[in-house]
Amino acid sequence: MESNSSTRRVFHIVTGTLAVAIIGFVLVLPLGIILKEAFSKGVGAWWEALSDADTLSAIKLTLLTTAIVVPVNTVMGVVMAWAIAKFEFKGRTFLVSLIDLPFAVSPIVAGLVFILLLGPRNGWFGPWLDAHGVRLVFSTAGVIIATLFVTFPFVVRELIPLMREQGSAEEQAALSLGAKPWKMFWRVTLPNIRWGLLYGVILTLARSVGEFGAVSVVSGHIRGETNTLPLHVEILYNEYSFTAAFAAASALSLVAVVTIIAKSIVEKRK
Amino acid sequence: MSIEIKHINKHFGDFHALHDVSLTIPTGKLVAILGPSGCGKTTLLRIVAGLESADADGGDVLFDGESTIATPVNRRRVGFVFQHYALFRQMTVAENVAFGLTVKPKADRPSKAEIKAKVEELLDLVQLSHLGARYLDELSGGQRQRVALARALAIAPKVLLLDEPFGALDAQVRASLRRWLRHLHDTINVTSIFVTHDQEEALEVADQVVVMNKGRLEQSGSPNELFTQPKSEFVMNFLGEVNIFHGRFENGQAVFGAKAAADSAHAKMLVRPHDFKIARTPEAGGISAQVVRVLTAGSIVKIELSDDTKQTLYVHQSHAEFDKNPVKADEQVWLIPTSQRIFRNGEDWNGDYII
Amino acid sequence: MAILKERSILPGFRWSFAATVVWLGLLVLLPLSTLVVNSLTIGFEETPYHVVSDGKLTGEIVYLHDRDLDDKAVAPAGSDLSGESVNAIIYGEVEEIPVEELELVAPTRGERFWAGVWRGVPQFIEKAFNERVLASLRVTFSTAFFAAILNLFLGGIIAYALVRIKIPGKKVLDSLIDLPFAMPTAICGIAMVTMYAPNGPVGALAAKAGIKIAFTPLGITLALLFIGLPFVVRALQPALLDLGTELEDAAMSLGASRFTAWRRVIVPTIAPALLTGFTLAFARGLGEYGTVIFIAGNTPMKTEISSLLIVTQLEQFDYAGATAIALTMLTASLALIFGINKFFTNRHKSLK
Repeated sequence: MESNSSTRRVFHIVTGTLAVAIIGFVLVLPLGIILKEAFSKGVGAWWEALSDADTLSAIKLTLLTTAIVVPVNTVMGVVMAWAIAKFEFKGRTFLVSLIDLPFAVSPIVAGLVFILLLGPRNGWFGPWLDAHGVRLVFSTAGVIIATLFVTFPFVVRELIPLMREQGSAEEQAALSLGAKPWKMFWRVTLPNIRWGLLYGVILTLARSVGEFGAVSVVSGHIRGETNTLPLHVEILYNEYSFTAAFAAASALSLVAVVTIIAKSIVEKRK
Repeated sequence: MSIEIKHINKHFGDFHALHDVSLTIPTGKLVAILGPSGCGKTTLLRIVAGLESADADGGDVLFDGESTIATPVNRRRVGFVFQHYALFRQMTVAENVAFGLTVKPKADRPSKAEIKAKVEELLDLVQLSHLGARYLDELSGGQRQRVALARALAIAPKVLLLDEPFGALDAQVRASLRRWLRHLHDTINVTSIFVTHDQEEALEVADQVVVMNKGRLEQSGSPNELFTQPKSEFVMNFLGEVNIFHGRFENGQAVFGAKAAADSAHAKMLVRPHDFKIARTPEAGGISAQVVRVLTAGSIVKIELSDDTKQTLYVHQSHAEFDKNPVKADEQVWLIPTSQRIFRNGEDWNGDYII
Repeated sequence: MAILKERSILPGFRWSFAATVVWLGLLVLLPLSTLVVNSLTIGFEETPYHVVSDGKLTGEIVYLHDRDLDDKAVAPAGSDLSGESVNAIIYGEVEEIPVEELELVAPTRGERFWAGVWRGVPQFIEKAFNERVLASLRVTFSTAFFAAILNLFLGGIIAYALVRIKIPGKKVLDSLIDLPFAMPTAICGIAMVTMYAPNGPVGALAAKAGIKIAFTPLGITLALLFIGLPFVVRALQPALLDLGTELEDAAMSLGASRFTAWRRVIVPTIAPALLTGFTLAFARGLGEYGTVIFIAGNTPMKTEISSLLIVTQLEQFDYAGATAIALTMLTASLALIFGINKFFTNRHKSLK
């Protein structure tokens, strides 16, 4: 028994060290490199790079996109989860698989389908939209639509299992006590799902700030106009403006770190 | 408020859950709907509450003669106590109880002080006034049950409906809570229906018991009526223990025992364990049996016997009766039913019989 | 309301269901259907025209795009060529011209349809499976596969450590696992290339050992390693937690070595979770773009991944080519995910 428990200890120490080493090398080192490169020429240079006009407009577009996408996908996520989790209807599983689809699709393909649909020359509705002066790809609208697509599953996928597990007895109780539908939702359903909802919102937020592939295809890369921050990082990097690229990247990494902190806090309360 | 259930049918897909159920419940009574699981009793209760809709084929539920079938649940003013309580997990006990008052439209809503007073009164009624600020995970099962009841009573319900109110509790708590429920009903006097699968619970608490089986209403009456005059084999079998004897019908007579041939119409005689006389010598109408075991520990004496077909029979006697004529294991005796009921195809049959 | 299987007293089914269907239809079904429809109609981009010479059909057929027609004189299908003149379209205008000047006769609908179908199949195959595309698929699938396999081992060690071993700062380590989920992929991409480039911290070491990482398939694999790790760890953690320590202890009390205990008892028990983690990491690797493009080098036939090839085709306005590759990739990842779902529903027949 003695030797057994000591071999176990050795085994645990070796495995534990190995795990920490892998996390450090695979996950933390890249983050460190971004910070190191961002500040390699000092805080002044970092700040200057971030205050560049094109960078600022990229930040603005990213914030605008997030400000539209997150509320829309939150509301739609709750609405879809309500229909799918609380009712038994024909075709339910089909709708659930549609919700899973964006996760199976490469971001590039996600961008591509919107060009095939809305592209001004060859898209299904593109020429018609173009004739009416509406441009839904290679524009800010395109960035928003593509981001909507890649982020919409986060909230609804978080809520469906949660709401199914909770059942609808509490909602029925609220109704039997005289609550109107809106009161029932506001006072009973929403408080019950709030942590799951918040979790989904955090994931949506992180992805809409950071989405690259899909947005890259539909944005048109118009500098100062349709470039989001991740796209701007790419351009700066390809122009060998490394300090500026890593400065912007460090700002995005900060968002990522805040995201995982928020995630782990919310996860505990779920 | 009286409740009248008229010709209610309910299908779930192809499954016919309720067959033309009609029932009248007079004002102020406490009624138990009793039946095995899957008999449709909960569905019936939920239809009365408006939580489930009946088939739209003319059936109706009337409160004081007024049709409610088109009234949605949130305007029916029924107090419903859910099987697993369905308490709002994000609210305190007091907030749960106050819910029905706080969701009233502004015009009808009592003031905050009135709500607070009402909640305190109700918590007092269910003996939980010290727990108002607690959350539900700090409460025992029996306490949650009482919170659910107080919450349902807060809206001053016209009727109180309870779905397996004691189903999730352990035996000891069940027993004390059901006496308490009876007492509470006598205090507040609201027409109440509760659903249960426990016959003891139904017979002990209710003014009127309704027995359901396979979506049909079998019999409705006072506990005593049901116990002593069951209209069907199912009711007699479900309410209390019985011994079953198989026989046949012959020339307008029911024939039991060795004389019965196997190929004629099936007769069943049901005798409760306490409805036997035990004789040591053969007697006309007696069933020959051998004593297997005698259990004297307990408030009654339980005698286990085996008849000629090796069927196990049970006889219950009071200690006084047993002491007059004690039997022992392996003894050959004859059992004479003092009260029995005979059923043909499950229906009560009144006629001569021979053993 | 016939769509509801059970009537419910809960409010809001009609409109929430309608909103769900409309939203999913517009945002998912309609856009993704373009891939299928555009692939099916790939042969209809060009129209078969009958060639006319000296006022007579030559029997020859040319396939022309609409934009090539401007200055050609085209008569409608079934035009009578026996007269002196014929109605034809030139520069989008209908004109009556001498029959000798007529160049083409338009096909009938049937001719057009069958030509589209017959030419579509080989065209799609050419677009979806030409040498360059096949090379890109090879690079994409092999790097994603090896990265996912490697992640099974690394993720396995991490998951075991996080579940079983008392490590100081475990909560922080656990949160760090989600970093690849939270980091924008482009940022990961430039971090990867900086790290593994010949003058980067890791790349320099590797270069001394004579190993080139950046701009090789190895670089792509390492980038996908980063992006796929959390999938494996998050799939394994609950499985290991459920497992408890009894099985391992029991196996070892029966005389098995720790390695044998793992091989014979633990791994088979958590096999479904391993498979899930592997599939998710693999599927993600197939579609990954941002993390990979900076480090890949993007040399056609060698380090060009399929996602990048789609972008290249788009930049060259070869929409049909981009669509064909996209459909192939989408089919592959759907098959993977569908396959794993099927595997699990077959394993335990319980419906969730």
